[in-house]
Amino acid sequence: MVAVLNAALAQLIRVLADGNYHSGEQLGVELGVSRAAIWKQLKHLDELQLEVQALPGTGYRLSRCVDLYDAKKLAAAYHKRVGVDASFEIVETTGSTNSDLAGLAERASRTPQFLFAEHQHAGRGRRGRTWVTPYAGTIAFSMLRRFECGAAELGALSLVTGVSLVDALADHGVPRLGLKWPNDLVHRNARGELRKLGGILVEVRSEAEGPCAVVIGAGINYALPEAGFSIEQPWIDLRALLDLSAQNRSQLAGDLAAALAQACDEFEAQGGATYLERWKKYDVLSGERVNVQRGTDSFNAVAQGIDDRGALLVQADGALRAVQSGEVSIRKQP
Amino acid sequence: MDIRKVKKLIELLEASGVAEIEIKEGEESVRISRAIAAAPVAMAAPLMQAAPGIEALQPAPPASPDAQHQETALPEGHLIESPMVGTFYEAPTPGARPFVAVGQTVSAGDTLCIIEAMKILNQIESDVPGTVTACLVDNGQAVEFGEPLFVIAT
Repeated sequence: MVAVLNAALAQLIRVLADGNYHSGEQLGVELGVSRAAIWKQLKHLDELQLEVQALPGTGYRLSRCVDLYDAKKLAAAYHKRVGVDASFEIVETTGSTNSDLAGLAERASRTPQFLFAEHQHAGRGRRGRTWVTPYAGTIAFSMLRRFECGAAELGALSLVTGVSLVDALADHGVPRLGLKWPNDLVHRNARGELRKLGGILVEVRSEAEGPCAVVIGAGINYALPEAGFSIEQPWIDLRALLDLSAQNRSQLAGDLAAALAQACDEFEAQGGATYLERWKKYDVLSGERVNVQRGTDSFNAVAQGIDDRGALLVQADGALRAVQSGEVSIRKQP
Repeated sequence: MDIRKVKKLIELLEASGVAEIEIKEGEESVRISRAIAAAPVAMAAPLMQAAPGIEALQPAPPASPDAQHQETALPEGHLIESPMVGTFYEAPTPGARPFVAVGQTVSAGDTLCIIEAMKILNQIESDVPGTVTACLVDNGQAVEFGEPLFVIAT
């Protein structure tokens, strides 16, 4: 696991996190290294999608100020919601938190294990899509948990996880949140335009009849850089929706993790019925003309909500069909 | 049923020396048979016109509770079935090397494929050690509960 930046680089980021200018000389003193060594480290920040601005005679600063994870605040926020502790690890950079935890699947227990990363260099979305994780620009974490049931009974968990995160974000004051089936976190503005705020990737390893080792990866855009990355669909971040100066990223992250853990507990104990009921009020597809693509099969339909297992109901050719897998996209109005 | 699957089944039949193979999938079923002494079935004729030895696709009778384990004349070995309705993926990401190929040796616990259902990616593992002798599904294809995915010769 590539978890640790070299100590000098990590310390450099902590000093620059305030977004103010720091002279090369001052940085050298604070880190106990030469100015040349500082200059060398600064060049690595690009790889973490931390853009450095240099002002001759003044020094260097980050183009955005970053609110780095604080393990104590994160754990405290988690404890506050759930009332118990969990296993947390926070790394500066890694390939993908989901991949890291999938490697620990054999150790999965009912007590969730969390891995948070400031930066992922191979963050994954669905089916090979990359998930952009600039350093401290998102809240990206994965959770490993064991479920006793078989994999076929986990379907609704996909929706339950989405509800848990939008509920928690709404608690923190994020307005106009929605879910695109099954669990894309979106923001719908006053004109009805949808922008993606976050996503969830659930991966399961199981025996045929259970138990399952489940890794749930969540990525929420917190404050993405102005440039230096590309996302292939309309997106938005929390900075556009909340006053982040009044927020603490660690507390928010801990609370989101706690909401997810609670949802998993309730899903295992009682099924996800109450979550699925709440899912309906976040449904952004209901009544929309959609295209459903499943393998080589593609058809147009009108979305009609979900059934009691969380499958998407669509009306196509006069019949109501339940969609359990595949890609659903909104069709542009002619 | 996908025409490519029918083709694959025919290839399988030819390679195996088995006389007849029948697959049920939801409401569809196909039975392919050949006389062992006869030449391999010609593929040129459209399937629906029932080329010699191939019966047209036909609705299957309603599945009985026991119908999960269909009588198939697949290669000898252990059948890996889909544990759920979903979409079959042969590789971890599009364009990547498939988890397994026919002829490959696998250990128990090795990942064979991913079935995506409700946007949950389920890694399907082999529960036996052996050699993959058949892959019965195409990448990206929809699969039903209990549908045979692989045959593993133990």
